[in-house]
Amino acid sequence: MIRLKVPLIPNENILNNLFDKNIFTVNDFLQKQSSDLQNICKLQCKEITKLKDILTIKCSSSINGYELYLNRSIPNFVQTGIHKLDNLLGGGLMSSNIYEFCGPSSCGKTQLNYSILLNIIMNTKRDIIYIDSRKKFSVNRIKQILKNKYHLTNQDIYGILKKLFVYSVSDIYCCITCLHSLKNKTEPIIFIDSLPAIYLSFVGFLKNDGLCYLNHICSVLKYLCKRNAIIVVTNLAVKNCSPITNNVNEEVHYNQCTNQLDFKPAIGKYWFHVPNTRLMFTTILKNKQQICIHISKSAYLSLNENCILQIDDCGVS
Amino acid sequence: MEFKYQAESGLQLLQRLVARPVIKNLSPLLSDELTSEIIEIIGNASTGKTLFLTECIAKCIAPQHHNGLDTGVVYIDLDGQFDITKLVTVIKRLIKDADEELVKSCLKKLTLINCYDSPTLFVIFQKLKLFLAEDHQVGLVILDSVSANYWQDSISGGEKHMDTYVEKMISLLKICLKDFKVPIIFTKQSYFQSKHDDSCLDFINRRILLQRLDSGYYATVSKKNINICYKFTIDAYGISNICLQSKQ
Repeated sequence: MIRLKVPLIPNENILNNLFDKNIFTVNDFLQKQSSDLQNICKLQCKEITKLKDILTIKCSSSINGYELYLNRSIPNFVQTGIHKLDNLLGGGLMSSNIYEFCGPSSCGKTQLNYSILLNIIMNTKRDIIYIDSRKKFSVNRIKQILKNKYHLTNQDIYGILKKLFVYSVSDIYCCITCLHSLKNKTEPIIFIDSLPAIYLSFVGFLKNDGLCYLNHICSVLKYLCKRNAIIVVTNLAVKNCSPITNNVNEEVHYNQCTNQLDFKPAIGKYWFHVPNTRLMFTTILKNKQQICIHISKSAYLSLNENCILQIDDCGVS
Repeated sequence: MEFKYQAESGLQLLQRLVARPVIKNLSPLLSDELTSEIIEIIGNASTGKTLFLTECIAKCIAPQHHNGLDTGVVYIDLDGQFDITKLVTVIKRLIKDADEELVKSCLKKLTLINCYDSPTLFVIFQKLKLFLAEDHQVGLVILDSVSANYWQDSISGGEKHMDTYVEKMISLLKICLKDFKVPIIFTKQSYFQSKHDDSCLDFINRRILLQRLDSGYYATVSKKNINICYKFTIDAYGISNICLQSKQ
C-alpha cells in the first residue's frame, strides 16, 4: 500500500486537500474521477492526467527477466551443523526459503531451533533473529548447550549471546510490527517460535481475523524471502480427528515409521502453501530423547525421506 | 438501412492497427488460439501450477525458429514462488544448443512484477495499460495467484464471497486490458471457491485442474463443458510426457 506523500504530490497544500477528502493512497487517487480531482487539487485537467500517469509508473516497479537472471542469488546454503539434518536438507538451510518445523507438543522443535542457531553463530558468526511468541526463550538452556558442547568460558558465551537478538512478542500485532522492522536487514536468519501461539487466540470466532493477520505475516515473510532471508517457523501439530486424510500413502508411512497416530498441523489449509519446505517431527515412543524428522512438503527435496536425531545436554545432534 | 456508429478511442484505434503476436499452441493443454481468453488454473500446493506457468513463459519467449512464439510476457507474482533459474532450465531444454546470448534475448521479453498487497496490485493493473500500449510484443499476462491476498482484503472491507472476489479481481484486470486482446492466465488454490455451488464462473473461458494422485500428475482441461484429461510427469527439467487419458 503506497501512501501519498510530498515528492509524489507537488506540494503540502494539495496533499492536505486530498487527505481531507479521504484520499490517502495512490490507489485512492487513481480510482477518483479526474474532474473531481481537479476541484480538490485545484489543478488543471492536463496536470491531473499527467500526475496520474506519473504515479502509476512510479509506484509499480517491474523487473526485466534478464536483469533478474543476472542479479539472481546463487542458492546459498547455511549448514545447520547437524550432519543428519544437513544431509536430509540437501546441504543445509537455503537462502530465500521458508522452512516449517511442525510437530506435536514437546517433541523438540524449540531444542532443535536452539541447536541450529548456536551452530550457525559458532560456524558463520552471523546474527540470528529469534522471535519468541511464548516468552519461553531459555538463556539457561543456551548456556548449558554452549558449556557442554563447546566447553566455553563465560566471556565467550557473552560474545555468542551478543549475536542473538531475541524479540519477545506477546500477540500477533507485535509480531507484524517486529517483522516490518526487520525489512531493511540484509540476508537475515529468522526463527519464529511459534506461530500457533499467536494465531490460535483467533480460532473460534466467526470472523476470520486471524487469517487476515496471518496473511499479512505471510506477505512480509515473502518480502523478506525476496531479500534472501532464511526463515524457520515452528508450527504445532495436533492429533488428527478426521479419519480421512488426503494422502493415504503418507499416513501409512507415518505409522510404519513411528507406530503412532498421525498428527496434523495446527495452522492448516491456508498456511500450507506458504512454507517452501515442511519438516514433520514425531517422537519415538520407546525413546523420548529422539526425534524422527520427515519431509512432508518441499519445493526442491524428494519427499518422504527421514532421519532420527538425539536430544541430550549438548543439544540436538 | 440502419447505420451504426461506433466511437473509438485513439488507444483502441492503435490496438486495431498494431498487430500483436497471437498465442497459439502454447502447450499441449492449450493447443488452439487464445485471443483475449481468460484461463484459470486450479490445483493444490505442489501440483505444478507455477511450473506449468514457467513452461508457458518459456514457450512464449523462445524465438520462432526454435519452436517458440517470440512474444513478450508479463508475470505478476503475488505468491513469490517464481524461480528464474527454473525458467532458464526449461528454456535450455526447449532449445538444445542455447548459448548465453540466446537465453539473454529470450529473458529480455519477460517482465516480472512482484507485489505484496492488493492496493499496489490495482496500481499495477493501471500501469499494465500504459505498458502494453508501449510494448507491442507482449502477448500474454499471467497472475499467480489471485487468492494470495484474499484474507487481508476480506477483513478490510473487501469482498467476502470467494468466487465474487476472483471475479472482481479478474474483471479489474480485464477492464485494463480489454483493448489489447491478450489472454490472461491466473492461478488459484483448489480450496479457494465458494461452497454450495459448483463454482461455475462464466467469465472464464477455460479451466485447467491440476491434480497429483498416486499414479502421477493429471490435468483436466475444461472448455464449454467439454473435459479432456491429460497425464504428465514432472522431473528436474520441467513438465514432460503429456499424453491424453481416457476419462476414468
